[in-house]
Amino acid sequence: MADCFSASEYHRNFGEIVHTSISQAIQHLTTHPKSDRIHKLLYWVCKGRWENVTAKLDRAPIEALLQELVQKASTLEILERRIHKAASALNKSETYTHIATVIVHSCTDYYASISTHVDPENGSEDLFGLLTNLALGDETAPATDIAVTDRFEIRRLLMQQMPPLKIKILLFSVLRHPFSFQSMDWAELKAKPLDRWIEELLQAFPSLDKLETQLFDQAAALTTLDQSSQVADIIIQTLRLKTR
Amino acid sequence: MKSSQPLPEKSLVLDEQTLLQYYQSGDRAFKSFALRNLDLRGADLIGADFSGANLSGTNLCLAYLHRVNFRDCHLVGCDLSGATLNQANFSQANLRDSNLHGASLQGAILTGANLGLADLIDVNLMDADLRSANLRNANLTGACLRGANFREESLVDNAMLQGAILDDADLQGANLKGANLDRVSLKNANLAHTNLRGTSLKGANLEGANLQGAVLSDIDGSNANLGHANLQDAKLERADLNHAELFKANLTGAILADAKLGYINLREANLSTAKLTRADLNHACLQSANLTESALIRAYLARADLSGANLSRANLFGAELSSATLVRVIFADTTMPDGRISNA
Repeated sequence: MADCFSASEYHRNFGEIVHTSISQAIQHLTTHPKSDRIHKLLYWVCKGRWENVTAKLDRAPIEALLQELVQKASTLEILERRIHKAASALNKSETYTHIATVIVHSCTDYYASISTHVDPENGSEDLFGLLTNLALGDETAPATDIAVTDRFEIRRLLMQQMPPLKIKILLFSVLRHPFSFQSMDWAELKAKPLDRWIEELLQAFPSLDKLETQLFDQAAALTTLDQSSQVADIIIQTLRLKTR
Repeated sequence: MKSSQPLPEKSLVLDEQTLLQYYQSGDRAFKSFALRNLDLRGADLIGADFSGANLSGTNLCLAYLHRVNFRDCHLVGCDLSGATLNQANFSQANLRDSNLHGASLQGAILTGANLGLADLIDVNLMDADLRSANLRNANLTGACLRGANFREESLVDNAMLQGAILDDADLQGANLKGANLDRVSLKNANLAHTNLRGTSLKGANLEGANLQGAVLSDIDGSNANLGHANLQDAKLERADLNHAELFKANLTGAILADAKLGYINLREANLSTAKLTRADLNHACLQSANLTESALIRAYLARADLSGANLSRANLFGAELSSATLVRVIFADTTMPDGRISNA
């Protein structure tokens, strides 16, 4: 039976396909005109530190770093998320986001090859995934850690778009009363950091639809706060993105 | 339209109305002016040049101040809360005791600025340049400092953060190498993958902080509180953590080779697969610690308390265990100091 492999044949063929796919990815990245930046971004993702010294980078070649990365990311989605997250943390985030896309694109065939090959001995179980998941860091973090990460992410996204004080003023107005800009309100507003205001908001409004109405109503009433509707929009968009 | 009146000579006093009138007519240079105690709340002064000016006591709350030049400015006691100060230049400015609560300073230059005692709660300092800045006793609770740079290239005059409050602050990826963080409060802060190599963290409070994958090699963290901290895969080679508190800390996969861990409290800490080669753990409390598959090769554990610890598949080859407490210790395929495998 021509289409029926033995287990050893299967593993040999599977290994060859995977090996070819990863070799092609390595070839593409090492000969890419931006291979220096590709190397630095891969080093940053794998080692968790930025490196500019050529001698140190040479000790961890692109080949080794890519192998390490795909072992830690069991799916293309995980790899994409991880590498883009790392790129966005850099000073030249736009440049490195483009580099991240190049790396992800070059790994597409590799991930296609591992996802279309099912080990006949293990049924539908993704053996590669099982092995790589062992080395998976933040993707398998316990629920409490994920919540903490989201808390920081929500704050970062809000702060990037609007001075945090404006966000706090609108949250205060939704949760207490329209902000008066008098000393009593300032004292209460400043007594609690932004995180705590967001926490209180989410407890008070488990439904984002109801929250949206309240935010825009208060923003419209708060004529003393410049950009108040924009603040409301930023809050609701960020929470929709991060509280699924 | 330009103002028909020329700007007065430097060091002259301007009031709010005159200043805004000049700005609206296109003037941007207000260098070395005396602009003290003005009420400029919510003002739009984008791109203005106040370098060398005296703005002490001035209220710029919620003002629009992108790319404003405050170089060498005197801003003591100034209210900049909620102001938009992205890419502003505060190089060498004196912001002591100023109010920057909830301000946005993304990409701002604060090299050599004096921010001692400043209110920096909930401030956005992403990608800010804080080299040689003085942040002593400043309050940075809830601040976001991702990508901020505290490190001077020359390795001298690093940012001073002694006594600063950075609870819940987000410092992921910030460069703090060599900074002085003595007595800093970083409770529940996010320091994942942050470079803290060689920093001084004496007496610092990092309870519950996330330090996953952080580089803490050669730090002086004696007497620091790292209880419940996440130090998974952190690098702590040669770190001084004598007398430190690490109750219930997660040190899975952490590298602690040659670390000084005398009198440390690691009760109920998770040290599975941690590398503790040649670590000095004299008098350490390791009660009920998880040391599964840890490497304790030639570690010094004299008088350490290991009661109830799990040493399954740990490697204790060459370790010193004299006078150590080994009550209820779990040995399973453990490599003992003399090289034999123990299942006792």
